[in-house]
Amino acid sequence: MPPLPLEGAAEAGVKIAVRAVGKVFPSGADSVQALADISLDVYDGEFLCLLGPSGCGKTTLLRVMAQLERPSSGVIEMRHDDPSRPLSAVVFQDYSVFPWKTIRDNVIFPLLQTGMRRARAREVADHWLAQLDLAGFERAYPDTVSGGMKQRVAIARALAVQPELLLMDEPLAALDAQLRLLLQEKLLALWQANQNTVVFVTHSIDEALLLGDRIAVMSARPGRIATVIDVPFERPRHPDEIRASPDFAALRDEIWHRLRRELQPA
Amino acid sequence: MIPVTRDSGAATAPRADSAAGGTTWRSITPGSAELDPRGYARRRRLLERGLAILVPVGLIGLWQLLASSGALEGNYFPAPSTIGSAWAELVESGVYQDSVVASMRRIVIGYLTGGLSAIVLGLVIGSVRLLRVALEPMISALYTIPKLAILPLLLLIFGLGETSKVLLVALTCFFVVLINTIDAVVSVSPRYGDVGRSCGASRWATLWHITLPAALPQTLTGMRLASGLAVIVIVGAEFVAADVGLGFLVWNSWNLGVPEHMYVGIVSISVIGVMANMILRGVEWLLTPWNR
Ligand SMILES: Nc1ncnc2c1ncn2[C@@H]1O[C@H](COP(=O)(O)OP(=O)(O)OP(=O)(O)O)[C@@H](O)[C@H]1O
Ligand SMILES: [Mg+2]
Repeated sequence: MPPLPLEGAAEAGVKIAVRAVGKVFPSGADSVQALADISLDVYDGEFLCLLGPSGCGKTTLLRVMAQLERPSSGVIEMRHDDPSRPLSAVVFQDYSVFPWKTIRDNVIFPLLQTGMRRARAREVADHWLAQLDLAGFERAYPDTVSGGMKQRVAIARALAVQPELLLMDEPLAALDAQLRLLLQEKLLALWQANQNTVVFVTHSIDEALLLGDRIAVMSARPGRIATVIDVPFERPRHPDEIRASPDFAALRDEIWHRLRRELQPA
Repeated sequence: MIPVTRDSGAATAPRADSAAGGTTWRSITPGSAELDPRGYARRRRLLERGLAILVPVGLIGLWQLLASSGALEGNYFPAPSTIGSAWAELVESGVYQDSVVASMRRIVIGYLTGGLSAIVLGLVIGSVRLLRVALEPMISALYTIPKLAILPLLLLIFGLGETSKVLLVALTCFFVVLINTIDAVVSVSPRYGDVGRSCGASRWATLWHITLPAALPQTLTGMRLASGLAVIVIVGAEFVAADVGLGFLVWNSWNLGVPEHMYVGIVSISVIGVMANMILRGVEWLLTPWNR
């Protein structure tokens, strides 16, 4: 798998252009360099996975893309095509559903911020809750449902606004292995139906291979893009077939070796 | 060694196999709470309710006995029955109702104006960093002043009328609620704010949908603390600066040497405190359905 050349990539079709982005967090007397010189293109409609060891700056990079944080150096350009849709929506790493709102109201909240009427927002919310198998729980409070359901609420909340760009930070990390498989299939099906551009942070190689068009592997702190890998599997993908294919095992080994190099100090 | 029985059908109590040699077994079995959970819960509830009622009733009975036997000095500790009939007299003459209404009016008006304005201001000060930095030291300084200490100043400015007393209650409640609200807003987890920002929520929407509900539980705790303080402070004010009210009733009965009336006033004040607490717990239950 040759890594895609970053320079000279076709400018057309680039949705996010990350150019030499660095991020330094001041902490007391000294400072933490979370990101160093990140350059990356995310193309229209692609599913890009960010893979890397814990603490390498995946969340930081995603937060910069979500405009929740500003870079210390470099620049990120994002193309906003359709002003009637929000540019981006985020699914956060920790459960960030509002405990004081019912599950339905959690999904309604961002819709209201886009100027949608409440009655319409309610319909849209119920549609997406049903998509994520949460029908019947609309009036429940998040703390009364399981962690997996809470995380599906967070995903429904992001999908409901139909953003051009979906930023997901380890949305499945806190779930048990079986539930995780089921939700991966769900996400795959939803993405294949909706085709937003997705940046998906994960530290699971399997997950990245299963979901991603490309995988950007990050190195340990300070975070850099170590390599970008094309995932050759055809779409629509069927999780079970992919996991069973010999290519899958080979790719997974290759990525693991690269990651291990990143993890081991030279 | 304990033999492991693979065939669960043939499992017998391992106890039988354990020979001597100092081995002891500890058996873990269902207790009465597990065997009859409903009955257990019912008995337990009955016992708890019963205790909550019987203990005070018993103590009052004891008091009655001691007082009527002469073991307690009647001038200081009149018998509960004496207090009861004094209460009836006060109700009959209308003095009691006047006192309760006067005190309640001061408490309710002062409490609501002070508490509610503190919630609004606290939300704003808590969410605007510069405001908070500018005002917080002053607020803590003012908070620590015992509010009764400024009663003379209020009397000087507003005279003996209702304004000074209502204002005293309002100021007392204001600072407690304000401090609690600011603290609650500041400690709202930033990840909720991140969700708001990533949705492009306006300042107003953030305040209404995120800051207010997230801060509400602690704000309501502040409101509950304030209700207790309101009662304390109004009694103090009525001691010296009122001619009607429960505080006045207590103080005046000292002047007149009628200890029964003193007790009527004291008990009524504590009942008001307890009721306020109950009402506010109800309000909490209504306003924070997610914490039920
Ligand atoms: N607000 C902050 N202040 C100071 N340091 C921070 C802050 N946010 C992140 N960091 C530091 O930046 C580095 C990268 O953090 P980040 O959360 O982006 O890692 P990550 O790749 O998402 O890790 P994980 O896989 O564990 O979620 C870490 O060393 C972290 O301590
Ligand atoms: Mg992270």
